[in-house]
Order: sequence, then structure tokens, then C-alpha cells
Amino acid sequence: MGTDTLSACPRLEPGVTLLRRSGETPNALYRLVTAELARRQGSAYWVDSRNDAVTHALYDHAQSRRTLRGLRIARAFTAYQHHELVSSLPGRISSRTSLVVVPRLPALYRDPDVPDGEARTLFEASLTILDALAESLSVPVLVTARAGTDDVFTDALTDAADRTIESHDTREGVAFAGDDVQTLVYHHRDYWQTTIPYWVELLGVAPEEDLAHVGPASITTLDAVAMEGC
Amino acid sequence: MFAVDFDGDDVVEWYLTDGGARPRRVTDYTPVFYVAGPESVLAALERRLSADPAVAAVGYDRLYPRLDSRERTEVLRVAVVAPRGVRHLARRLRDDLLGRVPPGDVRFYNVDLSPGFRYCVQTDTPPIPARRPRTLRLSLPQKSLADGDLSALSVGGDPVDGDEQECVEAVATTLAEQDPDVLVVSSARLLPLLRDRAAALGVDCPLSRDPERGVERLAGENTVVSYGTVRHSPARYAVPGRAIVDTGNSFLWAESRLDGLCYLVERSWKPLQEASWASIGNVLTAMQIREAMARGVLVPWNKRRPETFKSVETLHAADRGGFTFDPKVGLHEDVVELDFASLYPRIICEWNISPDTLGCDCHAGRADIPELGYTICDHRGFLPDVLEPLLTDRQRLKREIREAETGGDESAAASARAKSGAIKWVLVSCFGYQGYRNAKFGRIECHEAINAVARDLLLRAKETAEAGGWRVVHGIVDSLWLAATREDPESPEAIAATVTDDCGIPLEVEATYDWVCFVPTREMDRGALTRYFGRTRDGRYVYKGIEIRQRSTPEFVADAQRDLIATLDRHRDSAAVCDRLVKHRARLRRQDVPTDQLFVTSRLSRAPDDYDRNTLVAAAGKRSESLGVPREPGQSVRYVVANEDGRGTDRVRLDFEHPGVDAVDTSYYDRLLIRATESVVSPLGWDRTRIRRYLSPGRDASLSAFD
Repeated sequence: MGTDTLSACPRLEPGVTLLRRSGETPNALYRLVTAELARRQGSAYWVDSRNDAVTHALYDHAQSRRTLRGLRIARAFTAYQHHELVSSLPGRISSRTSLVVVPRLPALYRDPDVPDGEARTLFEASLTILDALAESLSVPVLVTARAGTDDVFTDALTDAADRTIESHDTREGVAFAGDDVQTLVYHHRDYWQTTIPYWVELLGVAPEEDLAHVGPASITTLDAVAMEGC
Repeated sequence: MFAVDFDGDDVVEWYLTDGGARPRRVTDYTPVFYVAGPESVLAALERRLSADPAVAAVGYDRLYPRLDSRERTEVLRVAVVAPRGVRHLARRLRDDLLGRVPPGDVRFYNVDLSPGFRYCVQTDTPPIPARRPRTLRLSLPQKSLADGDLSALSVGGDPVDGDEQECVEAVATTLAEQDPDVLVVSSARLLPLLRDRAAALGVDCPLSRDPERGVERLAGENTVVSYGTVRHSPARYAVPGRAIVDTGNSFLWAESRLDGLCYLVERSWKPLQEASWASIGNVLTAMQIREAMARGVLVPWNKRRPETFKSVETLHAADRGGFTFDPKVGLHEDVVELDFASLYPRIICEWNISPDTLGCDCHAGRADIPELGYTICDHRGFLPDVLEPLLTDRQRLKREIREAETGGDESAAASARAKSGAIKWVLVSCFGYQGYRNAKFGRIECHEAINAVARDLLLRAKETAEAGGWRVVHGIVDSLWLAATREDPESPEAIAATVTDDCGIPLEVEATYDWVCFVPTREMDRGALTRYFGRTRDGRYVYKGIEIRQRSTPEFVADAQRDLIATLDRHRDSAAVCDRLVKHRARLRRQDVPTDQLFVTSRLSRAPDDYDRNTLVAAAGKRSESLGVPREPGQSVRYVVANEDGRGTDRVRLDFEHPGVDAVDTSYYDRLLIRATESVVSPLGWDRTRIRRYLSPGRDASLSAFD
């Protein structure tokens, strides 16, 4: 089961990956992070804003408690604290670090209690540090920003990111899309919901004339394949 | 000293005398703030600032940058010419340095202190008056204020019988006769209105004690969001030589009156004027700033200190919040409530929990906090030093209240109660404030540690109680409700004494209930944590979280609910309560309820036009606006519901329209009555459907029997 969960979730490569998420829940974030932590060894750091680091949710998404053992979380509540935490990362991180997670990177810098000019300077400095860490230590850095909140902060983030993944909540769960990413299966607690691209990838595209022969029997077989995945 | 105000570059101190007040002018005060950063940057800054006309002097001081710093750091001291000019200059410097030095390299300290408070702490001048200040109340109804009509003015609580001219003259006469120190006004906007009207009518009515200077406007009105609630902050005015208390916008005045306010002035050194418009958090911060400055610690402008990185496991444990034990829904007889008195502040003092003691290096490895394993330094902490005097004073005041009450000295008792009440608010907020994002000396780990200790104490208390023959029927944060499980349980006093000895924090028997009802949530699926009511052994009713206690509930509904609870007390039966409800519904239907008992009071959470949904409060806000009394977010509106299903502003009538009984939408209030009844009978398993069925006209004996 484990490998299937991972294959359903895009990998995070070294460099800065921007996750743009629509929808209210940070489920896409939890899935990406827990899947990546399951694949990698070593410590990981999470600089939190706006209480995205909900431990219940992390436990729910992780395959086992062990997955989260190397993860360290610190929460920021103001832009100043956020910048302070990001600035402390170079002293903590090495090439053995598996992952750095900075959800809602722009959020606190948008708060009205920080003057605009100062907020932008702090934000740019934080982004520069994350970018430099990703590059010099080849560490995957995952940052997120809500889709539909485009302003100077998200623009700068999009420019700095090496790649962008988009996620949206569907009826079947979280779907990812990006340059080389597409959600092929949705994982549910008890079963898999497949998508057409999944079968296309698995079986190839049937020649048009063959479609006429596809009947209930073959559909059962396909379901059986899907069930095995669980 | 009693008050301080500013005249250009001078400071005027005011001292209360037997006859009134006398001023003292100070010409050499220059407020100071500090800058820390790399030597070269400070040196360059020093050179530039010495030539800056806004700066009186520059130099260096050695101070502690943080509460837990072991060593002092050399920081640039900047003395500003204008007594109220610190923030302005600091902002200018900060903007100037942006982009020239890496962010965070240069830090500003002691910047955002209110001017009067800064003067007191910097010059070591306590703003404590030599005698009790004399107050004068001036009040004007909202509608009259909006219309700029002074003829409905009350002076000293009595309406002036006359026109505007006579009203202004009455104020002038009273000011001359009584020479009050504090003007207690229904709205600060009354001051410029009085001043302008006096000038227009040619009446000499000096609100100020300085003949040269009159009412000064300090800040415009605005809207602030605090802890997620929108509050309206009105324009502020100052009057030389006197303090202004705007009763509609002074939390502390509303809660603790003059004596409470004066107590907080003594403790915080915020002059009465500034304390009156301060929030509790602000007063607490002032106390902390005084303590920090006494310790040679700099006061950060922006809070930068972040949380430390923790494992998911620790964060999970730390995030659990306070102790809660789901209440057992129902009516329970013979229940004892035990409370830890001032639990959080006492934990802070007993466990020495403070930003500067938590996670110290010198005792690393020692697990002092249950569950979380945090280390606490043996060195006496900052936060306990701030809170200990308040705890001591509160204990003393509680004793004074008891003594005054026994001795029949009601005015002494009231004064002690006001002070004790003021302290209670500070103590209640000191815990939450540790977790508040902008708290200058807050630290989230302290918040977590306090919670962890509190949970541990409650669990220990629960175990002791259970061993003594009791079971917990409800528990939350610092209180436990117990019911006996056997014939001869240990006495509640003995349980409390055992726990007190064991924990080091006094557990007290708060109340003994003949019966108490724990109310389910609206979904009826489990007990609501803070909704209960009951009657204590000494015959007192206690109501928590139900309609009676909600600000928005009309008086008629609250009275009816009180009556229904008394009915429940007599009959212990839902049907009897519903039979009683019939009387209240009939009164409503007969239009026998005066409209002033039907007013709903609601706070506007946004501007009336910004409501997405067409709620009653939005309708009331809009109606108020259309009638010439604009309401800001955070302000309240009072209205009766005229037609709940109607359209727009016609759904309500405002208090100042003096609506008659025929304007009232009885079905709306009838629904409120049913809701209030549901709270009373739901502990016995009746929901509103059952109530309505019971009350339905077709009900007959057989149907009741079926029930």
C-alpha cells in the first residue's frame, strides 16, 4: 500500500517547489510532505504560518509515526518571527537535511501591522535565504501560496520557484497538476479512485476499433487491478 | 503627580491639591529610544543623528537585549527633542535603513511606549495622585450627540432642565464649583461639541485647567481588530489638567471604576488618562515594561523572538490546550464545585515559568514540565516578579472585602471589590497574553508549559477526588464539579486540603449545589462545556453561558428564563416548565411587554454595508445610518425586531425611535422564548420539537400520556 500512496503523489526534487493550492484545507500540503518524508532519511524543518502545522492532520496523513520522527516544526505569528526563523535555517541545515517546508510563505508579510516597505524587504530576504539553501545544499524546499491571491509576494515566489505544482480539492480527494505531474489515482482510506489518465498510462490507449469490444468483463478486471493496489 | 500633558516641547505635570490641582512645567525632558546593530552602522547613525534637528542627544548605553541575555550589549541611545516624537523619528530611521542594511540587523527598542507612561518610567515619576480624584459625569444620548443637540445633557447624573444655553451654563457652573479631576463622559465627542457650543453661545465654560489651552484631539477614530473581534476605537481627546474617561470605550472603567483604575495606575505607572482607554493587555504590558526596564532589559519594538523548533510529538502534546472533562448532560443533585484560585498566575509563580527561565542552558536536560519535558531555570523569572505582587494584593483585598462586609462598611467593601476586580482581569489575561502574537514579552512555550502543568494538576485533583468517593461530572480548565459515588465520601473540604498540600496551589470549595443542570450543545449530542445553571445550597441561582448571560438577549426573554429555571427548581419536570412558558407567550401575544424589555443589543462586526447576508444587525446598522446616527464596526446597536421576514431596514426599529408595542414582531420573540426554554429543559432530554408538540393546541390528555 505504501508505495502506491507515494506514487500517487508528486516527488519533491531539490530546489524550490511552489505548491499553489485552491480549496480550504491544506491536505495537499500534508500529503506531499508526509509522502516525501516517507521516502527520505534525515531531519526536516517546517517553518509554520497561520497554524497549518496541525499535528492531528500530519499524523492522519503519515503512514506511521516514524515518518514524522525527523520533522521539526516552529510556528511564526508575525512577519518578524517568520523572518527570524527562516534566517536560522542556514545554521541548522546540512546536505543531509531531507526537506524544508514553508507553508503560506507570504501570509504573515501581508499582515497590516508590518509597514509595506519593511514587509517586502523582510519577505525578499526570507525568499533569498530559502532559494540559496535549496541551491547550495541541494535540498528540496516546499513553499506554498493560496491560488488566487496574486500580489507582489506571490509574483516573487513564482519567479523564484524552480517548479510549480497546483493542487485542488476534488470530490475524490486532492488532485495535483504541474509541469511533469498529474494526479493519476486518488487515495481514499479504503479504496482507490482511478482516473482515465491512470489507465491510459497503465494500459496504453486502445486503438479506436478495439473500444467496441470493451465490455463489462474487462471493466471487472480493471477494478481488480485497482483493488490490488490497496 | 496625577496627570501629565504636553505643550510643544514642554511637559506639564499636574499635582492634585486639596482645593484642585497645580501645574509644574518641565522644559528639559527628552524621551529616549535605543538602536542595536553592527558597530559600523551605529557609528554612522550616531554621526548622522548628532546633526539631526529632531534629536537632542546621542550616546551609548549598555543594556540587555533580551530577558534571558547573560551579557549587556552596547546600544545607541537617541534622545528626541519632541516629548511625543519618538515613534515618528524611529519610523523615519527604519524606513531610511530599509534596503541599506540586511533586515533584522538593526533593531529598535523602547519605541512604542505611550507618551505619558514613557515620561513616568523614564523620569521615575509615579503618576499616583495625592488624594482620590474627584469625578464629574457628563452624558448625552447617542441620537442627540449625532444631531449635535446638547439640550438632553445630564450633568453629574441629573438631566439639565432647559435649552442648550442652560445646559452649557450648568456645565460651566458645576466645573467652577466642583473643580473635578476626571470628566466621565458618555462619549469623548461630547468634549469638542461642548467647547464649540460654548464658544457659539458665548458661555465661558473652561473644560481645561489651563486657561491658555483647551481640548486637544489626540487621535482620530479608527477600527481595530483584536483577537479576531472588531473594535471601534473612537477619537481621543485630552484636556490639560484633567483626565477624560469615555465610558463607552473604557473597558477598565466598565469593569472596575475609579478605584480599580487607580489601583492599576499605581501598579503600571500608566497615568489615569492613558489607563482609562487602555486594554487589559496594554496595562499588563506596561507592568512588564516597568519590570524589564528595572532589570536593564530593552523593550523590543517588534516582537521577533520566534518559537523554537520542536518535534511533532512535542508540538502535539503542547497544543492540547486546557483540561476539559465533558460534562454529563442532565440534572445532578448535590454537586460540589472545586476551583483552583488564580490557577494560571499561580502556576507561573510556583513553577517560575517565564520567557527568561524556560529552556535555560544552565539546567539543560532537566524535565521540569510534565508531558513536555521543558527545563525551567532556578533563577527567579521575570513573569513571576510581575505577577506576584498582584496575587499578594488580591489576597489582601479579598480579606479586606470580608472584613468591610462584616463591619458593615459598604464603601470600603466596594472600593476593595473594584480593585480586586481590576486585578482579576489582569490575572485572567496574563496567561492568554503569553501566547498572543504581538505580546512584547510573550513566549508561546510559556503558554504551553502553563497549560501542561494545569492539565497535570487537574488530573491529580480528579484522582484524589475519586479516591475520596466522588466522581467528576464536569471539569474545565481550573474547576471540577463532583458528585458523590458512595454514602460517606470524604468531605469536599478535606479533598481540597489534600490537593492543596499536594499541588502547592490552593484548591477551594467554590460552591455546593442542591442541583445543577449541564446543558447539551444545540445539536443535543453532548454536553456544552460552558453552559450550565443550578441552585446553590444557600439559595443562590447560578447561570453560565445560557441566554440570561448573553448580552444580546432581550430583558424579557432573560426574565422569562429565570422564571422557568425557578419553575424547574420547584417541579423538576419539563412539562411544568412548559406550562409556565404558556404564561410568558401569552403576555407577549397580548402585547403586554413594554418594548424597552424587548431590545436586542448587538455589536456590529463590520460596516453595515459590508455584511454579506442580510442579518438583523446589518439592518439595524443601516437603519441607524439612514436616521443620522452612523454606527462603526465594533459599536453596538439596540433594536426591536419589527418584522423578521421583512425587507431591508424595515425589519427593525431602533431604541431612539421609541417604538411602540404594536411595532413588535411577536413570532420572533416567541421563537427566542422557545429557544430559552429549550436550554432549561434540554438537560432533561426535551428539545424544541418536543416543547412545540407539548404546547400544540391539539394536545390532549391521551397525547400527554403517550409522551
